[in-house]
Amino acid sequence: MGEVLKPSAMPRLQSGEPDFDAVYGEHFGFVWRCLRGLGVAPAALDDAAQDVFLTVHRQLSRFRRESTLRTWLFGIVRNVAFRHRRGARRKAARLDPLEGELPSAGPSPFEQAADAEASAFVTRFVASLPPKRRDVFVLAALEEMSIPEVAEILSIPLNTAYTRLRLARVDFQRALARQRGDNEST
Amino acid sequence: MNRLEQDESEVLARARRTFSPTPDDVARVRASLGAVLAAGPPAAAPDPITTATRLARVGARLLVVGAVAASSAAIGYWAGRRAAVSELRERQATPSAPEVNGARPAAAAATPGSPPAAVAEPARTTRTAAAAPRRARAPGAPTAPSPDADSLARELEALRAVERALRDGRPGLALGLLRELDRTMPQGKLTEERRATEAIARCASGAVPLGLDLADEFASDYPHSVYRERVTQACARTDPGAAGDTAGRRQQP
Repeated sequence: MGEVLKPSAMPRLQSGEPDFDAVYGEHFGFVWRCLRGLGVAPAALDDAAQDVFLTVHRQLSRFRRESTLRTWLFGIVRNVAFRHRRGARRKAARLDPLEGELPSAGPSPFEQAADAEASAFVTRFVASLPPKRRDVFVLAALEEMSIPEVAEILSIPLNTAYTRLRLARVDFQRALARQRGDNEST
Repeated sequence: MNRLEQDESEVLARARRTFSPTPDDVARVRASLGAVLAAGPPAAAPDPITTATRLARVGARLLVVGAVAASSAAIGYWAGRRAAVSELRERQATPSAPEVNGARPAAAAATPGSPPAAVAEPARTTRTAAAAPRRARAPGAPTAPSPDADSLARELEALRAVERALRDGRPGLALGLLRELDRTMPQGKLTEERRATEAIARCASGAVPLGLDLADEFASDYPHSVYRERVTQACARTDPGAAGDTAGRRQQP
């Protein structure tokens, strides 16, 4: 794994166009979290992120500034996540044992367990949402974007974005209350 | 803020933390991406966004062409019919009009309800063309390679690149090339080879549990494969609990 991104592999971009390295450095976290939020399994995240950035690499020189870079990226992320979710159903049996978050050295065991539980809960919840509501929830609640920004990225009216987020949050609180009830009863 | 809202923000904050990439994630994907870009993709791949756009454009063009063709046919039929009717009226008005060399004008033979000869002409041409014998291919003439043979050759070439990467001890590159191959040629013919190399590459890259799962699955799907031994050996070398059975390995912490 000693390979590095070779400059020769990068396109020569005209001045004013976004540079691939800069896009990668600045937006990798956004892409990764959105993929995760949109239901790509942890074991498939590397593949999915690579797919996204391969597309970015090919298309960047043709990126028109009619939309923001994040809007464009989210469109790619959404397509890649859909493809990976579909592929994951096929491979579900063999990937199941690796679905859980692997603990890393750092936080205490309690913290790790709580993080893993929260992550699993949110993953399940997001997967249960209708796609339109899911996109809004991922961008607003997980990415903490403002609603006008979410509306712009998804090309939907502002009020629609507010409504979808409100409905998603109601669902989220209900699911959380149910889980808390379950935990307290056991 | 009530307790539910507190819980909500805490759960979301924890999820955000676990969903975020570590510096290792950033570097690993970047290295793998760089290797794939440096090696070059096996074939130009359709991008998820542009594929849909292109299909939409093709569909729109077909619709436009169809509409133009239908309009032209309708206009032609209407114009021809008008011409035939007016000519018939003229003939009826001048019954003694002479026939040239005894031949009746075609339009005169047409009944008012039938389309004129000018409109029917293309149909006759088409029938004539259809009736003409097909030109036989000269014996020994070079034949174009079939798309199947072409795609098989490309798939084989891509798998050779994967094999070279494995031999050079670059499993990350091998996995990247395989992913690219899966993306560009999802319906390839060399499935057995792809799965064998993927299992070997996973084990070699350090993703041993997943590699072992893939190796087990490969062995059960292709019990008589010539690659089976190689896959088993490649994963056994990297498996810390190689002496145990698969179930035992999976239970290890």
